[in-house]
This record gives sequence, C-alpha cells and structure tokens, in this order.
Amino acid sequence: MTPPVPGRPYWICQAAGWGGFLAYVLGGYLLTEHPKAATDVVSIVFFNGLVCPAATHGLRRWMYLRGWHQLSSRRLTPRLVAVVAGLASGLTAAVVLWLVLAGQSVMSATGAFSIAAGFAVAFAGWLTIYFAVQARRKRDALQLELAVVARDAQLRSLRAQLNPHFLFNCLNSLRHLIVTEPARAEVMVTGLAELLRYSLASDRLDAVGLSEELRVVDEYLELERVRLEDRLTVTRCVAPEALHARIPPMLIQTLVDNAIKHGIAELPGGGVVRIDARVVNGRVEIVVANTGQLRPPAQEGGRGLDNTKARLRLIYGDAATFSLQETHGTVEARLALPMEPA
Amino acid sequence: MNALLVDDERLARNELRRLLAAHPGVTVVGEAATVDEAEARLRELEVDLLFLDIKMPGATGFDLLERIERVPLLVFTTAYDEFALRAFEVNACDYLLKPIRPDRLAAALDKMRSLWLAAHAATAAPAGRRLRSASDRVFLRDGDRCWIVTMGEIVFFEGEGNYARVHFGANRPLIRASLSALEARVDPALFFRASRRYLINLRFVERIDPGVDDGYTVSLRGGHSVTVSRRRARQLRESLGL
Repeated sequence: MTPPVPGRPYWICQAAGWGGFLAYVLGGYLLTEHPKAATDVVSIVFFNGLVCPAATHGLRRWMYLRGWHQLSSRRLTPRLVAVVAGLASGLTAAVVLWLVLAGQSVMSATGAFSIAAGFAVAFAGWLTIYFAVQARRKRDALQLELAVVARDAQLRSLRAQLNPHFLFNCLNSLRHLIVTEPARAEVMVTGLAELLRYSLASDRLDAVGLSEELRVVDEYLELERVRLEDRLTVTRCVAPEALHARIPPMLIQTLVDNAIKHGIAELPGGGVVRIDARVVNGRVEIVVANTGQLRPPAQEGGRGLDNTKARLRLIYGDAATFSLQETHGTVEARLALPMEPA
Repeated sequence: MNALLVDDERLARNELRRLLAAHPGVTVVGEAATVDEAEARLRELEVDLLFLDIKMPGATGFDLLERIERVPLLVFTTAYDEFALRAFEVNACDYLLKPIRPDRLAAALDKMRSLWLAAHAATAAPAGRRLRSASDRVFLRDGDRCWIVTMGEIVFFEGEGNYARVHFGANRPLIRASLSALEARVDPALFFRASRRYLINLRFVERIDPGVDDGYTVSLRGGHSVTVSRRRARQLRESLGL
C-alpha cells in the first residue's frame, strides 16, 4: 500500500519533534564540550536536523509499502525494535565515519554508545508518537463509519413497508376473484405488482416525485376498494405546482394505510379518505384525512406514525413538521416539508 | 355441522363459503360482517362451528367470544400471524391463515369434527339457552392471555370481589364476574357453592374431613382444599350421595 500524502499535522510534528531534538543535542554540546569544533556543530546539524527527519519520513513510506500499518502490535513491536536498533547503529557509524573523514581521531566506545543511545531514544519516541496517532485515527474513522452505518440502518428500519395484514387480505380477495371474476383479478394482480415493486424500490431511493407517490397511492386505494367495497370513498385535491415536490418514498402511502387501518376499516359503515397537497410559502403541505376518531396511542396503532416522525427527523432535521388531530369526527394527518429533501 | 362465517370482508366470506362447499359435512347457516351481527346470529341460530376473523370494525373476534354464553367449536381465520393468536393457549380451537389452503382447511375440519363428536356423545344437546354443563366450552381472557376450556376442566372458581379466579390445569386467570353471577349460570349438578369464596366442581371432590371450628375440609384432586360449614358439608354430601 502506497502511503497517503501526509497532512499539516504530520509536518508540524516532524518539524517540532526533530527541531526540539536538534536544539537539545546542540544546546547540550555547546554548553558542555570544551573546546568546541566547527565540524562537530556541522555534523550535529546535518545528522539531527536533516538525516533524522529524512530517515523517519522514508521509514514511514517503507512501513506503508511493507504493510506494517496493518500488523497487530504483537507482530509489529519486534520489527520496530529492530528498526530502532538498525537506524541508531547505522547513523552512529555514519557520524563516526564523518568525524574520521573530517580529520578527528576515532572516538571512544563510550562516546559512540552515548550517540547511539541518543538516536535510539529519538527514534523510539518518534515511532511511539507516530503509531499512537495512527491508532487514534483508526479508531475515529471506525467510529465515524459506525455512525454512518447506524444512521443508514436506522433509516432502513424506518422505511415504510407494506402492511402485511393488507397484503394477505389482498391475496385472499384475489384468490376468490380468480374463480369468480377473472377480469377483475387480472387488474388487481397488476396493481398489486406495481405496488410491491414500488415498495421494494423504496429501499434504494431517497426521494421520489410527489406525482409518482400519488400514482402508487391510487393503486393502493384501488386494491383497498376491492376489500372494503363501498365502505371506502376517496376524494383528492392536489395543486399542480405541488406535483414538483420530491418526498421520501412511501411517506404518503403510510399515512393513507393508517387512515384506512385505524379509520375506515374500524367503521362498519365505512367513510371517506381525503388527500390534499398544495404549496404554501415554498413548502409542500400534504393532508391525509379520514372519517373516524383518534384513539390513544397506547393501542398498537402508534407504531406507523412514530416511524414516520422518526424518519422525517432523520431526513429533514427540524425542517419538516407533522401533526395528527381530530376535529368533528375527522382525523387529519398534516405534513409540511421543504420541496426537496436536504 | 352448522357453521357461521364471521368476517368483515364480503369477498373473504365468499371465498370461505366456496372452499367449504367441498365439505358436505359442513352447512353454512349464516354470515356476519360485524361482531354485533355475529352475536345476533349466534343467538338465533344453532351454530356448531364458528369461523371467526380477529380484526373487524369496532371490535375484535375476542370481544365476540367474551360476549357469548357458550363458545362453539372455533376456527380463527386471519390474514397475518398476529400476536393475539400466539397468546392463545388452547388446543380446542384452530386457526387458518388467509389465503386459506384447502388442505389446511380439511385438517382443521377433521379436528373440529372429532371434537364435535366427542361433545355430542357426552350430552344430547337441547336447543336454546341453558345452564353451562361439563362439555360446554367457555372463553376466558386475562390481559393478553386467552383460554378456551370446557366447564368440566375447571376445578373451582375463587371469588375476589367482582372478579373470580378460575383454577384449571396450571392456570389461574382472573375474570370479570362475581361468584354469584357465575353460580347462577352453571349447572348445579356440576358446580357447588362450597362457601362465600368458593364454587367447586363436584367431579374434583376427593375427600371430606371434619376440620376445625365445627367446619369441614373438602379436598379436591390436584392438591387444593377448601373449608366449608357443617350445613354446607351436609348439602355437599347429599349432592354427591347415591
């Protein structure tokens, strides 16, 4: 794996770390050594100020190429110890050689050892900081990824599914119509297929045109009419400009399904479902109303609407409003959304 | 067997009727689209077998069962595997998922037929309303849990104010009915009011022993015992005597 281009924090750390190291060694030399030699100063600046940063930068690339960033700490540690030992002794040898070439006598073993120890401490420190930062970044990236995955999963689980009760009742009616009224059964199968296709596709789509959603809601209502017969009356009033709005798929379908499940289906004599859509102040307002009473949410009913609310919050934040109210025997679900999801 | 079909969807009732046409042993004597209609049909018709949808406008199939005196043989029909059915703890009924498979319907009818024959062997069923006797089935509901039991299975009722605890098998559901109301509805040849708190099934009486304070202790099969007064003990011995 080739190394990614390092960012600003990397360069700052490199400059500050090695700059500090250089200042420490040079300062120590100038304060304690007598007499001082120009070649020593040059060698210190050259090795600590240039060779060390270059070596660690090269080391970073080399570790990337050999895949060390993926190693477990148990396998990584011995490699790093070897690297530190190799680099420290190699650089010490180079320093000794440099000084000999500059005309100084060969330094004592103690002197060479203290130089090697200095390098070793510096490289070990560099690697410690480097891998600590790496580990932290990996953890942050993982956390971010988890957050994204969690939001996705949450949205998917909130996706409105077709109500299974509706689906099986539909199939039951269909089974009867196949024998008694084959022509009606044909129409019904096509409508059901359309609805299923849309419901399945809604898993992959973030938004659909309002006109498309309303077309599917019509199919759905036709199917409900086969079951409920004359108990179901539908009125619709949709302003043409509202059709340009884009909404999360199955949003209106869920509200209509609720209106039927908790409204019309509960009334022996049936009732009316009303669907209105219009644009007010640049937002699309959608109303789904049904004959019936609002019952306390303690009953199993509340789930679908809770899902809708959670879904709207995830998609729109505070930009969408939703309310459910009963007035004079009509339950009204009212939505106001931006014309496009964020 | 006389069957009543209860479902709010006309097509669903037609479909069931069509499927039942293949079974000459079953006669569909009526249909109902609501719980109220079903209750009326059950009063006026002699129904052996009830096909009952659970979700209906205004009230559920369970509400119907709570309202009626005696529960006929019962087959639930439901579109979806509902939580309500999983709460059901009886073997004395069956349920069919819609759309109904003809072979599942045949199996359910077989089961119902054998239950029906067993019940008919036990009692010659007189028409109209009567006291609940040993082979009569009743529906009990306590919170989310439901049971269908025959009266003969119930060991005793224990009064708790306006409620009564029904002891049968390992179950103790609390139902909304006073002990006096229950006493008035059950066959006195089967149930005996042993004390203010207890209405016991005579078939479960094992022994009667003298107890403390001039009373008697009645031991019931299954490990329960209740204390009765001297006067009640004498009545009890009379009703149990040859």
